[in-house]
Amino acid sequence: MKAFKPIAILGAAVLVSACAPSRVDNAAGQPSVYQDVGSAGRVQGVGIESQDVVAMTDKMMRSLLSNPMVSNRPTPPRVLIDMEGFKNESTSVINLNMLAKRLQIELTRAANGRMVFVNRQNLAAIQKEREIKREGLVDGGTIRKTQATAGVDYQMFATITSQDAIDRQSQMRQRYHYISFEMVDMELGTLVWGDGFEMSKATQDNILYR
Amino acid sequence: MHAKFAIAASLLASALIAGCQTSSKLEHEQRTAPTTYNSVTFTDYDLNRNFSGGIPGPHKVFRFTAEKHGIRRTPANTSEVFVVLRNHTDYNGILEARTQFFDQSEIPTDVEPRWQRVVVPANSTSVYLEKSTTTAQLKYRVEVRQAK
Repeated sequence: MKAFKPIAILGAAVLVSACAPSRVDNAAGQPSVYQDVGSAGRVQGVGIESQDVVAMTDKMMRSLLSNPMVSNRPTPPRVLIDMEGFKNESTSVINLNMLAKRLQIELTRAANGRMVFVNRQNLAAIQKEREIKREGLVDGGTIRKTQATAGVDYQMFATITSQDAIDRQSQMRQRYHYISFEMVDMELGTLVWGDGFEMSKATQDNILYR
Repeated sequence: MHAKFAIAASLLASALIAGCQTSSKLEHEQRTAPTTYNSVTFTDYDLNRNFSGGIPGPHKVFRFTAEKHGIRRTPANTSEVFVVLRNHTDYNGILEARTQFFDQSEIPTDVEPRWQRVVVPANSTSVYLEKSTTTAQLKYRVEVRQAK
């Protein structure tokens, strides 16, 4: 009789655990939300974030268009902006192509013919098209024929630099960024325009950028 | 005794209600004020706002002001807006400002306005500058808020 009691308890426990249904967490999760790209988002750290990219490229675009050497020439200069001219020497993770593309696209929209933008990223496709036109495989198109693709007058170069500091006790960290932009005359090698964007951020949150 | 107390209490209550109504009316006027051009607006109410009426009397929220603002031409013939922002507090302030440009017919023009940060040191002034991308003659409306 004494031995029956623990067996009964064990049996009851097995029964109860077997009856407990395996449940799916059916609670409504946190829905994804759209955020203003020009304002700080929910996840904020010390790195370069969307509001910084937007503010930086916007400032550079306006600054460049107010420079008469670049934007007020009788013949619009040919400008090259791509990630080949962009360098990241900072501790922040940033897609340089995103920076270069946003600047180029915003400038293309705003310049309205005051600058002509040269595309080198698609050079292979351009060369292939030129070849098949000249071979007679396709006709010459409707615009014109040129001896060669466009040479560049000015190229944009940018460098991202940073300086970090961490308080070992509080784990508070801060990062200062300085991003320099330069427009270089690709024949003479001189600087025709330059501007910078700087910011310093501090946080205790451990944010991962990727 | 009870009657006097009741009258006093009802007078106080009605004064309070009247005060609240005046305050709400003013706030409503401020929030629905018509858009003006060549102007600077503080979109954060705790930066610069006037509230009045009610028992406490007139009350000003007056942390930052726009001391001066205007528009001028750049060497490339685009326009540049400037706003001199003054910090009346004992603390450094980080603000954000953006400018919407309008043509002479008051139609929004130029590129989309973007927030730019401006640091205004304690009891000091800083200048917010924003350039247009077009060479047309423009009007402007600057909005200022607290940086987040």
